Amino acid sequence: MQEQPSGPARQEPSVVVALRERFPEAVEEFNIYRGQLTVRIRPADLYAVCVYLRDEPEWRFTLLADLCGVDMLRLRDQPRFDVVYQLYSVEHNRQLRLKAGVDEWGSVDSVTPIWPGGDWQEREAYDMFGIIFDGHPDLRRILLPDDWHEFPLRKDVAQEGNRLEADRWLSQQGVPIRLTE
Amino acid sequence: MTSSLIPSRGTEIEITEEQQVDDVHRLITLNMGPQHPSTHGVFRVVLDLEGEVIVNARPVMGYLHRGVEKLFENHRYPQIIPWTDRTDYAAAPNNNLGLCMAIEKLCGVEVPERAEYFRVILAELSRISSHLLWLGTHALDIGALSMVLYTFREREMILDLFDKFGGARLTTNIMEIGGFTRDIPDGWLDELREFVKIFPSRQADYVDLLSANPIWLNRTKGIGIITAEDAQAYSLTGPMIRGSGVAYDIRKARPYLVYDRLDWEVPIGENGDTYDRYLVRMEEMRQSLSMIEQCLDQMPSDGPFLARESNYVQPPHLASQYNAEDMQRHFVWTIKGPRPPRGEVYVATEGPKGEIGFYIISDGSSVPYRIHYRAPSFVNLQILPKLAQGAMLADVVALIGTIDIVLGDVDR
Repeated sequence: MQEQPSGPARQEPSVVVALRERFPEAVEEFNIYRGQLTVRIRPADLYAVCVYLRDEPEWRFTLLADLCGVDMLRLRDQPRFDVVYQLYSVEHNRQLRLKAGVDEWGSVDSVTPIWPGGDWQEREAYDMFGIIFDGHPDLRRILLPDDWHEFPLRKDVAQEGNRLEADRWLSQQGVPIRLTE
Repeated sequence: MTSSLIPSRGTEIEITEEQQVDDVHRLITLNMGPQHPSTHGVFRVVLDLEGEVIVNARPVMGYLHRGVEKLFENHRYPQIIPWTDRTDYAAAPNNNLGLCMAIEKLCGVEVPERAEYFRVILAELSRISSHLLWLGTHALDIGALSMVLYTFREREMILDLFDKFGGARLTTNIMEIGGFTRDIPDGWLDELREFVKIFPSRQADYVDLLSANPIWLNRTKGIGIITAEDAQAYSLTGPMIRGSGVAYDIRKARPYLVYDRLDWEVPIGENGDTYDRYLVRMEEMRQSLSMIEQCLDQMPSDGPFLARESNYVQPPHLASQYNAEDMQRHFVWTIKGPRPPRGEVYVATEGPKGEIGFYIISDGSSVPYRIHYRAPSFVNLQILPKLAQGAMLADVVALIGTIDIVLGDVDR
């Protein structure tokens, strides 16, 4: 979907070159938009790539600045979701964005064992999209109630959500008012 | 009645066999919050206690969840700015700035120099006001009751300045894509100079109140120690990571606006405890004030305040009232909204609580395909269970205070 810089002489950024060398199959594609590099990683290699990027003295991406899910329903066929990782290296003052695709009800390796800071952010991605993170120590909903009936940030959920289900949930909680007729 | 409204969040309080058998070492489960004054909102921690020592802390949140990211996806870009006020409502201008900068980066809009200086002024004022709120309530929680009266006095001056420029004290909605549509009101800068003049003496008063206060020192020194490695591993940002001695400040690491033209320093702590984070935030207020002072000196007194970029930026209010072409532009801009090119950006700015990140995916329409708001309070709060383990029950209040959370930001 992104605007690719045109021309055959597209320079590969050094991190892509290093990743290709180390994990020949890992880099599916990369693009640069407004000077920001995005590297799409094959989900099977994600964990190994993250460990490498954190520990290798050349990169030292010790800070997982942000992790979020994206529902790609209207932009492409498969896979349905993207998990987006924004990495930052304090030592080298570098930023990097990784992406990995996940099928609906599919799963991707959790990065919480690598960066403990991924814990709640992965729980939020699960809460909002239903993306399952393999190896997460405690994958539960975080912002919504534990028994909530939908994953609200999916593109096939309307902004107001399923109000009948929501009312049912409220009445189960003993809330006397009904919002819908 | 009230209890039936709450239960389905993490109420699964498990009592293990061990707990049932051994009455002497039985763990007591204590529910702190969601209606607890020192959780700064509706935040709940379920604590397993052995005597007064915390064995396990389980944070439960989401009581204030309004689904802002879903709302972001269903509004046009300029309509989203007011929503960002309502996330971290203690420092709304910083959130406005984060979103506006992300949209400007996505569209490639250049903001005029004068507006950049003014943005720095507003962002730093907002940082001081957020730190004042933090200092007052943190000291209040710990036992220095009078502190909040003094910090709120100065915070009120800042909120008055916001009110006079933008028309609101808390939910400021103070920035626009491309700069500002309104000019600075007459006398506003003089009032700001007045504040800059008196604030240092007021801050010295705070230090006098706290630095020799044995309760304050005993309850902050050596409490909640975070090592530099842990701070990075747990994705901490802002004063939380700097208190642990990591000099990561986005304003220095990747200077935006005019931060690279100002003379300032990044304060860092040594021990990574609650007291160090207090020192860091106090010094940050001094640095912010000096930045405001420098901006006042360097800011051009006249010049454009809004980018001239017809596709993405609305025309200035006055121009659209007197000029037919600008009025048409304003109409189209309001009804249809700007349509950024297809692409994605992640823009991080340094908020008072940490990294405020906006990740925008645009599909070329006037409504964003996805905006993810990286909330500093939410990510920083993750370390609470680790800090609370092995601490005393009374320390939880100090720990929540030192992380500096706003529940609107945690729950979104």
